[in-house]
Amino acid sequence: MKHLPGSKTLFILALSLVLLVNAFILIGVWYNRSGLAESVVVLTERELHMPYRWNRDQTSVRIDWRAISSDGDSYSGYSSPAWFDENKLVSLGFEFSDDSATDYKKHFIEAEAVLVLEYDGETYQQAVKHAQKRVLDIEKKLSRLVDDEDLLSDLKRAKENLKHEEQSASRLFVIDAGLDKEALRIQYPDNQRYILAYGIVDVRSTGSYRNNTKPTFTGRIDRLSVQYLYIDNSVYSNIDKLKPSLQYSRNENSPRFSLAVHYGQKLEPWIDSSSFALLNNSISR
Amino acid sequence: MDIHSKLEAQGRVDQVLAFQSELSFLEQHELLILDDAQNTRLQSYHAQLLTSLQKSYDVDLNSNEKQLTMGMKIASFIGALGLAASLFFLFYQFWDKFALLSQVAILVATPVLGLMATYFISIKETTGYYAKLMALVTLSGFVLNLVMLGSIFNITPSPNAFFVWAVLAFFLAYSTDNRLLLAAGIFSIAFFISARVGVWGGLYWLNLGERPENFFVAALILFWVPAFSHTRYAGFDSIYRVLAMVLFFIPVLVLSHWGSGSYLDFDRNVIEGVYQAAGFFFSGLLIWLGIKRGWLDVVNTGNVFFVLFLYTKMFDWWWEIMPKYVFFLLVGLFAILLLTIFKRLKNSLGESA
Repeated sequence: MKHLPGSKTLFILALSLVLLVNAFILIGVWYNRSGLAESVVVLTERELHMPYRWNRDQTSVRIDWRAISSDGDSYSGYSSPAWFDENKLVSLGFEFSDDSATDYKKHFIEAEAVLVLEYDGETYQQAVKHAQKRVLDIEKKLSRLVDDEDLLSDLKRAKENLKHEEQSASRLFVIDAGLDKEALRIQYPDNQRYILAYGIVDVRSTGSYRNNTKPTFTGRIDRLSVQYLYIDNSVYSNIDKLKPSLQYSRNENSPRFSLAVHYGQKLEPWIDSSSFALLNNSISR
Repeated sequence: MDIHSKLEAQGRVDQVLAFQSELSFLEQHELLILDDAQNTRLQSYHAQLLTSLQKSYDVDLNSNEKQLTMGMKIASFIGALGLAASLFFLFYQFWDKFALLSQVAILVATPVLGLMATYFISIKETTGYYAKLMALVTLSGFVLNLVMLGSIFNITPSPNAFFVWAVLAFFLAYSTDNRLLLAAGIFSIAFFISARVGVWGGLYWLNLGERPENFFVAALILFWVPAFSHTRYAGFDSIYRVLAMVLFFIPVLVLSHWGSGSYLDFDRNVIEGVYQAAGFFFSGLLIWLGIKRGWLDVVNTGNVFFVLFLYTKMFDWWWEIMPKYVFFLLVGLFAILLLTIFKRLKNSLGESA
């Protein structure tokens, strides 16, 4: 091939680019992990989900988070948490005008925000109480209508839900969002209970503009920016040893392991492999 | 005549071969007979020229060679895809065997070694196929490098990755005269620019498709890149212009049927009408510009989109209200009308040439 003029320079530039980009990334990783971690929380299998099909190519676990929706039920997506109202959306940079309802209905408008995740705190206790209350309410109704089959099956489901809530549901709840991580940390100072992490939020509008009713806007948490956490060889083999019942199922098991998850200066997480610990059922809750 | 690229060299060879064939025909029919001295001088000049071009640019001197070249191009493309896929699965297969430091070292070393290999192969080989193949593998290695570092260190995703992939693709495309890498670079940079425009418009970067107008800035920039001299590179200017037109006309086509996707604050029907008119106007304008500048690629792409706009409009107007046989009859008649117009256009181009 006739050597193209300037191609040597281009190769040198290409080489510099590859090295510089890698250096930039690795310096970013070093900076994120330098100094004291922004937050450190010991999560269990309840919050760190394995994929449905576990195999030897597995390199990550998924962070399972929830939030309390406006009707009091906890959820993992699709509806809006009670605290995520129009004022909160405005504080995250969303703008609302008369045409906003149409706009937000037709477009998928997302934004990145700093989310506050509470681990095993008040919000989780609220979720447990809510599940307990449901059981009590149905039992009360059943005391009047003893053989009502619908109520009996509702009671069965409510009890299963309570067991799930107490034994295996994630205790990690998104409880707030903002743009200023320092301000949020001042508001939620306990960095072993409150994680600050980037996440993606969007807008839901309710009320029909056709009926001239003023629409109301609520926010929804779509996902964490980093939803999957990389696990290295040692963590992989430790989890792999938990065979044969690798799949962590709803209501069936208590969590079997715990891991310390650190969030650094850039709010990017990592798992401390040496923190892997097996749990027995008595200490799982 | 200065020759800067393989494409130009091949053009010159084709010109010489056509001349030799025509000369032989003229001599057979005794319309033109060169004397021995002229013949010898001509043959010696052509032989020297063809040898020099073949040595420098690996041009094809007959149709068999051309077919073989096409086969080599296909084999090189498949080889690059195969090697890139193999690299990808190799990483995943043995990934868990390596410690973190080794993983990082492997990821960084892959594109670095790939680049070095590409450079040395490009110096040593005459055809350029192996260098192009290696360049494609290098880009795949770099994509894998950043994706996997992001995954290992749980890094927040960012559109900037597309920028650096684009820059490396451009460096490799220009240093190995590789059109496939140029196209990869163009798509990456278009994604990056459009994502940035979307962010300025209030969108999260991954939602760039919510407002198709985000692609217009990238299309405009890319269309005029070949205004800077690209004569050294075979067909690069066409690729810029054609892909820029695709990046412009597809959003126009989408917006002509989905007005609410626009940034414009007008009634949906007005916006759709504006984009339908814009589709016809700009495809017509680009056909005219292509004819004026002699850009055949622009003329052809303009034609394709003009016809696409026309047929989608015909579908909107008539599909529901007409019997299907009348609709397809009209489609056929329009095709004949277009053929007549293109034939006249071709004749006028022939006359002006």
